Amino acid sequence: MPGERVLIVDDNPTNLKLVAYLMKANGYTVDTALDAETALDSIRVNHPDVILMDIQLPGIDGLELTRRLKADPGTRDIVIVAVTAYAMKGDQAKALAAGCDDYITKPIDTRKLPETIAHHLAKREIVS
Amino acid sequence: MVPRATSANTELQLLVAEDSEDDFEILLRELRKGGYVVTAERVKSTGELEAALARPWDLLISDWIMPGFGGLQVLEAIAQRGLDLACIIVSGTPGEEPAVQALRAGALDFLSKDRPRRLVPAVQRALREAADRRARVQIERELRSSERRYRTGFELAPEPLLSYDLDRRAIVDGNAKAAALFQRSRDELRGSDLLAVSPPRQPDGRSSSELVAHYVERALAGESPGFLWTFHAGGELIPTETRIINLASVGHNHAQINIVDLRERLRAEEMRRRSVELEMQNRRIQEASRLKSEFLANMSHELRTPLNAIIGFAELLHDGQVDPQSPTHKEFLGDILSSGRHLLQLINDILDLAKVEAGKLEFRPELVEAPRLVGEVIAILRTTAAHKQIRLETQVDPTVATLTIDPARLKQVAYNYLSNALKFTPQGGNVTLRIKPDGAEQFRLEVQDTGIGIAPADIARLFVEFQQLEAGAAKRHQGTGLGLALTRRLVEAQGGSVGVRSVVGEGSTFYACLPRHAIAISRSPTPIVFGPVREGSRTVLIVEDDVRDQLQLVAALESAGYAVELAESGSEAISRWRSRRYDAATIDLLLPDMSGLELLAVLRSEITNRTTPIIVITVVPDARLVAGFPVHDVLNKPLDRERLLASLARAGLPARQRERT
Repeated sequence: MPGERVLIVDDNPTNLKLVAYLMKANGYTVDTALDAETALDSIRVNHPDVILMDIQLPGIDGLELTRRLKADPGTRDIVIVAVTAYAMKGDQAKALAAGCDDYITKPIDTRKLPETIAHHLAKREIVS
Repeated sequence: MVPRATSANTELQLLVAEDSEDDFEILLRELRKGGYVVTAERVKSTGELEAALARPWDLLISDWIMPGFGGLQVLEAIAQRGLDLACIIVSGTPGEEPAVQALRAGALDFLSKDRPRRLVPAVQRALREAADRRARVQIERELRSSERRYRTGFELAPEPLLSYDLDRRAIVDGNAKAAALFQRSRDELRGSDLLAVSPPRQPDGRSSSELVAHYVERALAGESPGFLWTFHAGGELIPTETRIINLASVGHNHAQINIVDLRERLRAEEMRRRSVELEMQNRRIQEASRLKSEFLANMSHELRTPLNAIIGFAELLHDGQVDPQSPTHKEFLGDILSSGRHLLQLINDILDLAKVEAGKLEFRPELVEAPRLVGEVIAILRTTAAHKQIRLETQVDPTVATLTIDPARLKQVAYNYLSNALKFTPQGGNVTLRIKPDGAEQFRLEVQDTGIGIAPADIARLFVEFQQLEAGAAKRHQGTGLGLALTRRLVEAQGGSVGVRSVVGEGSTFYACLPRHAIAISRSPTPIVFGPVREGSRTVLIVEDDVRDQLQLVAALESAGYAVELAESGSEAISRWRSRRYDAATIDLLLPDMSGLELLAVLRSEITNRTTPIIVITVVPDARLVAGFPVHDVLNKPLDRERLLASLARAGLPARQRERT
């Protein structure tokens, strides 16, 4: 959904750059954060529609950040998609249990990711 | 004087064989005078005698010659009936021959009718003797019965018993259980020696014959020594608990040997030990498996991260989403390149580790100019340092400017330490690489940083594979968790050691000490005995494959006055263990050829050194791992010298001050 706001959280600058470029190219307004603290600040200011959440982060990790956002009535409607290099058995279940709406493993498919995000946003429109 | 006291008012049931009424009366008068209260009956014929003998009497007094029968017949009648009846013969015609005849036939006395005054003392003596004889018979009967009971107990006892002659040191008899135990007939057992059913030496090496002599000596001194004894029968060694019980009160230097067969008990203990062992092993395997899975998960994560950039950017470029003329296009190509290089580094680390683990790492020492080599490493990392505005300095001491070492491996060590330092040092900090002498034979490469430092509790885990500090999803710093572990392995494989000094918040200094001039590393299979073995010194076996830990242990023990021997593998430890007695042993649980727990099981099942205290020294800080093993103590790595010495002191082997020369 072009024009929607997306926050990308990833502690690896190269990966952050990649996803940011991809989302911008698909018409999203993009914010980025290298850690959970920065992400919380950005969410407070920018009210993103969707967050692409890396799991391994310094300090507070992506799972914990997701739990907090989903527990807070002010942020629980934000679509959170885990984008992570944790691809072992059980990792998906952990992400969904923490409250992520979807789970995508790295390496990402640049041709499908925008579609997936658009799908989640469309679903949210219908529900609300 | 007549001892009247003994006969005063004594009732006497008296039977008298006498044809003369007068002589009978005289006899009664004398006895009454002597204080006896006499109830008497007189018989004059064999028939009357027979009838009277059916009743109880205290005493029989018989004339020697009577019409129709005589004293001899009377005595015979008593003997025939097996009566316990005291009998005195009186005779009007005394003579030596009849007296001998009468006494032989069982008379207690032979008196002349001419001397009636002798009667009372004779009766007193006869009654006393009769009483004594009866008591003796009673005792003998009781003894016989007691012996029967003893014999029955001996025969039916549920445990093997031997009846043993301490003087002849010979088995008198053995019960059925003993015969079964020794697989010999009782006839074969009788008269044979304990040594005939014992091995020449007991398992602890002491001579069986000397020990038997010793225990018999103690038994003869009135003790009942109990001891562990190994018998030998039917081709099998039979461990027992044996006791020699001195029964000198029953028979002359007679003893009973009680034997408790310990085979069942030992088998049960062995079973229990094995099952505990298996459980421990199982736990170890599970733990190892968990670490491997964790490692695999980490590897997967670390490989996917650069792949994400490589594939992602490549897709964008390939799909024409980036203008080929734009600087972004070139930037993305650069990202693909650096991510690819990072991936390669990861793979190299993994392969190196695999080689180290398989012992296949090769070193090619050559003459190296240290400043040049250091310069090459610095060149690789200068950009990274500049990025974080970190001052990168090098200092090479001229005395160690020329080294003989594998340059690629030394570079790898320097690179790992430096990149680690750069990772953990904040913007604007300092990182210094130094190469300086370390004793006459070694040099030291150290990298000092002004980074975040490492908590003391974490230092032990730093150099261990798969152990990343701050494990879990919240790792602040990228890495495979292999760098430092790999560094340690590389250095140790070249006979060196690694370490770190660190203050939280101030920074760390990582170092590696290596020989200045490497020679081909070959691990000697011959015994390495450190230092002179002094008379009476205690010898400790060190089982440790890690060179750094070996040196530390040797230094700690030697400085405390122990002699040490070193085994570098489980199999070497076992052959040493069997070859001589040690006063103590330290065992590392991580060995190249077998698990430490397996080794423990073997060592503890050996007879030599059965009681030698074993101290387990392990990086796995959990005493429960060896629970169930008879070990003296469990100490953690890194090793604390004082704790080791305290532990040995508790085992009864206190440290000695080493002589200073």
